[in-house]
Amino acid sequence: MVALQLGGAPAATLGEVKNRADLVIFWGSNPADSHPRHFTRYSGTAKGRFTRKGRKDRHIVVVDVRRTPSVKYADEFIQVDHGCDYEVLTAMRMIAGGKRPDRDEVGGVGVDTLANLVDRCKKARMGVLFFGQGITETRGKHQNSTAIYQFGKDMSRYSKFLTMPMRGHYNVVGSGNTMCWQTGYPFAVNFGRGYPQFNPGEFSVVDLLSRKEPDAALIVAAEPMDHLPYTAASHLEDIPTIVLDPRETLTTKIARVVIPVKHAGVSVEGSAYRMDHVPIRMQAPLKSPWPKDDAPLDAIIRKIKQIRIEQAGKTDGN
Amino acid sequence: MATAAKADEQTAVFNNVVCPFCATLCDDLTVHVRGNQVVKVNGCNLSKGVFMNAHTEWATPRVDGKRVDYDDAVDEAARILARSVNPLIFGLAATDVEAQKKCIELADLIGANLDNASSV
Ligand code: SF4
Repeated sequence: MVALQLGGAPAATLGEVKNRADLVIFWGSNPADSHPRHFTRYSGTAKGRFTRKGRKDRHIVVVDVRRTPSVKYADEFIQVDHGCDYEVLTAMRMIAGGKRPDRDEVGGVGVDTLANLVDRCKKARMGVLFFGQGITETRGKHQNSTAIYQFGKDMSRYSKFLTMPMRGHYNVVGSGNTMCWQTGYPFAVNFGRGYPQFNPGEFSVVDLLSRKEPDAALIVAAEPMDHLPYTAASHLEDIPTIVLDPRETLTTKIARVVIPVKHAGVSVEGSAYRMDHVPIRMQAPLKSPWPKDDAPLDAIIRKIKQIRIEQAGKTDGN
Repeated sequence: MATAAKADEQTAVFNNVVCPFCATLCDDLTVHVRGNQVVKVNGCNLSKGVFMNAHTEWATPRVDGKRVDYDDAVDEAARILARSVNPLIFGLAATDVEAQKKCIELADLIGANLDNASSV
């Protein structure tokens, strides 16, 4: 996300990918396990207007530090040494700019292999580089994504070339978009001064919890006890934590207060943003006895306002 | 035969259902529901996990591990957040846009830190 702010990126929908892409690269992403139908619906076997032969019309490359289950669906696998994505991307940018690194290998990959890949990217009718947590959550973090976006920009001089993160949770794109549209910033926002301030590293969840700063937490539709590093998440056990969730999770187990809610997309309709930022209206095939999460949130807001009025009354009385 | 026909009458079929699991957000699932339980769904293993298990392990309203009335849980949550000087609101990635807006309104009201999984 920070990388996106630094570099910007050309965008297209997954429909465009399906209809046009003849070069697809998955970098640090294992869609066979994490996004199983991405490949059949959009990026691999899908047949589109200019990709009538589906899989045959696409060259697919997997770049990763290990041989993931996605490799068997690809035409080419490039294995990068652990933590060396940034070096490899930088070498690719260098090659794209007409210079050759002064060695045979960068980050465990032969320079000739990289030169071939760069050549393919330049010649593609439409190339797409999907990148995953292997890029964003390893050494270099947002600098890796920045290098990806910059490589994408370089390639846009030669071909139609896109870079797109393989987002995990179904509406994580929506959470960024909604926060942007409401506060001006996509994440790591603090309202302590009465207006939104943005500072990743200071107001981001792992940093806040690791420094044990919050004195109370409200968790809405997330599983920090499962997904965050334990050194950070364990602080939630020491403070009053409130959880809104349709189901029991590791986080509801440690929570002071549990408020059950309907499950968006399962027991209540709602809107979510696909990874390419296309908003989609979700249906609700099941029924749940609990309210939708806006209702308890609204009730909490009203109650807090009431508590404040009561407190103000008491202070006046004194 | 009769039983099968009856079972079919009781099965509601939902078409073009959206899968709320990964950000591919497939919008082509067919979900068969009987007695408020999903009995059949196409898609991938992950979507099957979401829908087939949707009726299990529902959360219950609780305070300090004890079952309470819904409104009491909400009141306790409000008291905690009203008292807090540096609250954190985290999550938002697995719910809809409408709920996300409410989280932001609440964060603004109580001067909270607000973050989603993008930062992780
Ligand atoms: S069906 Fe599979 S690929 Fe499609 S959104 Fe659900 S989990 Fe993702």
